[in-house]
Amino acid sequence: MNIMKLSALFSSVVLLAGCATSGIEATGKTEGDPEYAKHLVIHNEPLANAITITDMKSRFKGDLLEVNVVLSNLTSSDKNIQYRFAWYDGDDFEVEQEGRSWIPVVLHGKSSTTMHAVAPNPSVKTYKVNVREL
Amino acid sequence: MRLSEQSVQTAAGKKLKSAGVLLVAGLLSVSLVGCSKSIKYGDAAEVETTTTGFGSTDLQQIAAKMVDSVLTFPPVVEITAKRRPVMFVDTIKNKTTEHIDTESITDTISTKLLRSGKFRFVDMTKVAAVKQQLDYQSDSGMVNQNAAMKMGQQVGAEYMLYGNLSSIVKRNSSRKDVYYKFTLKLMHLQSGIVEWSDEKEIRKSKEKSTFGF
Repeated sequence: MNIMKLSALFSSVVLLAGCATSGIEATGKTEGDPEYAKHLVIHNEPLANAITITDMKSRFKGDLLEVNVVLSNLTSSDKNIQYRFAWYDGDDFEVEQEGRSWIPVVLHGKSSTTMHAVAPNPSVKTYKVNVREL
Repeated sequence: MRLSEQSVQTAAGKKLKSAGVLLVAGLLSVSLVGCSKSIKYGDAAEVETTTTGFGSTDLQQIAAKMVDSVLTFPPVVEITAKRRPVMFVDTIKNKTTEHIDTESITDTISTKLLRSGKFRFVDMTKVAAVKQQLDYQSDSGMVNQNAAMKMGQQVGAEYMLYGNLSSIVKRNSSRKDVYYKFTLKLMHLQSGIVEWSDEKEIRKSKEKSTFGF
């Protein structure tokens, strides 16, 4: 019986660990309607219920795209999240694929944080942000 | 006689049993060891939290912040709008108690800046090799002088990139806290004016678990 309980616990831990790799994905475009919700892809429903993207803005600084994405924690507990930006040129080809790493952030309960990034070069026209929980 | 035979038999049985248990335990440990020795490739962009020491995630975060900051600072945007200024990277002073390869941090920053198409660099670590090659081209008599690279034609750097990496480490019996601060500055060499500067702070902490593992 105990072994059964233990194995059930282990399998649930494994399942939870499996969840850590998926998250929320949002795509932003520099031209047209800034309705970011249209470009939101949720791979992890529990995370999407706890964390939400409340704003996505972009502008050109010189000829480089600068992006601000606001992430809000809907729960009252602290969340350890990671985010990463991906950059695409006018033909939707990914630019500087290996240039961006996951950045860890502590998102305190009922608070929001801004994820800020600048495109690696002037060819970038579209961006994607991935958010996942650790 | 029979009794003693029986006792010998039971003793032998016990020995066999314990040997069996040992064998099973041995097999189990071998299989466990076998599991722990798997080698696999990981994601270089992954967050690394093996120790509180300076790691790849710290390097990546510092480089990303510095490059984003310098490329969007309004006076720098103005400077780089029509031309690509030439820079050189001085060393980053490591003021922490750890051994950190600060050249690796500046390599990442200069590579990102170069690939942004906004700046160009001269490499001061290769001056001796360049001098040797130019000497060979001009003095050895082996190179056609019409095709030889001429001495005294290099472009001087206009800006210098330099900085510091410092840390504050605090610990008590149950907690260790490490704070890193990376400062980078951009100086105009002719006027000596610092055109841009920024900092990146990183806090890492390690808590001992209740069971002392």
